[in-house]
Amino acid sequence: MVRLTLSLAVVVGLAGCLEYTPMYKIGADTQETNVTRGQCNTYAANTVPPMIIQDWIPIYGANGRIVGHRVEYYDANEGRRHSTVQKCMEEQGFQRVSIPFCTDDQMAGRSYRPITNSPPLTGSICAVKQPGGGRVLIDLSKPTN
Amino acid sequence: MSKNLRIIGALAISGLILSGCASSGYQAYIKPGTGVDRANRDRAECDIEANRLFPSANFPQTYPTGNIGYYGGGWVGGIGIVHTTDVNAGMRNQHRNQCMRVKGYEPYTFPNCATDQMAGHSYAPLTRSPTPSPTICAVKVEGGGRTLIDLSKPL
Repeated sequence: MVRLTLSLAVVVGLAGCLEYTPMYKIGADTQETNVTRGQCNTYAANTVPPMIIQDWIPIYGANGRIVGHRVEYYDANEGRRHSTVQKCMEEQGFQRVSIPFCTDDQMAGRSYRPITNSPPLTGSICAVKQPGGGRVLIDLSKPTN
Repeated sequence: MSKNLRIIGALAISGLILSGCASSGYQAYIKPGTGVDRANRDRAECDIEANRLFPSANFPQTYPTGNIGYYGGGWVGGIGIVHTTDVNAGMRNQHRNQCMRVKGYEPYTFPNCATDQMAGHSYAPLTRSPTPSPTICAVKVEGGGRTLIDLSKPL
């Protein structure tokens, strides 16, 4: 269970390096998206409270005897909580999308204004990583210089 | 593992406390000419709006503890609950900043006044939001808050 969770986390983490996968709703501005996410986060926190599991895992010696143990703690509801956020946002018209990150070649030294109103996704829209860890979308067909 | 966690936790808390002691600035919103009462009221309105739109949502997050080793013929690793994060905190702060900007304020960091700067003089707290200048700095007041003074206007 725990190893599976860690493996999935690694796979999801690596996938996150390649593509940006936000919840997206055509026409929604940044404020609407943030407010919906904030309310869904609160709903999920309230409806799927932590369920902390304590596992005692035996450690076997070379002769096959148990020589010790280790303790693992995890929140069994962690995944369900994130699913609840996603379902809540889907009910508000958002859906998970996959947007590629912009390459340096594509940007070609030009400047772009961040998109704030979630237009229909086309091949010219890509994501840029921000210094603080955030992501913004830009439209490569609309450079500002 | 729990002992390691306690040590890491103690170090983290110590770091936070020390970084708080070493804080060299006072974060404020400024709108030159605005009265302090009005600025406080605007700040309270933005706080209320931000708290209403982005109420706290505490998500416990499980992180690997780095407790990995080769035991009994196989690699094993431990995980543990490190801390709970309010996943709405970032959006709430962002909204508070935007709300204050809409009201015409700019976030600004003022330096703390040094003792030798004050040179034994007394100063009255500013009652209006100042235009930033090298003579404006922050002092602690009773009750734990801070207030701005103008070093060029001793009493």
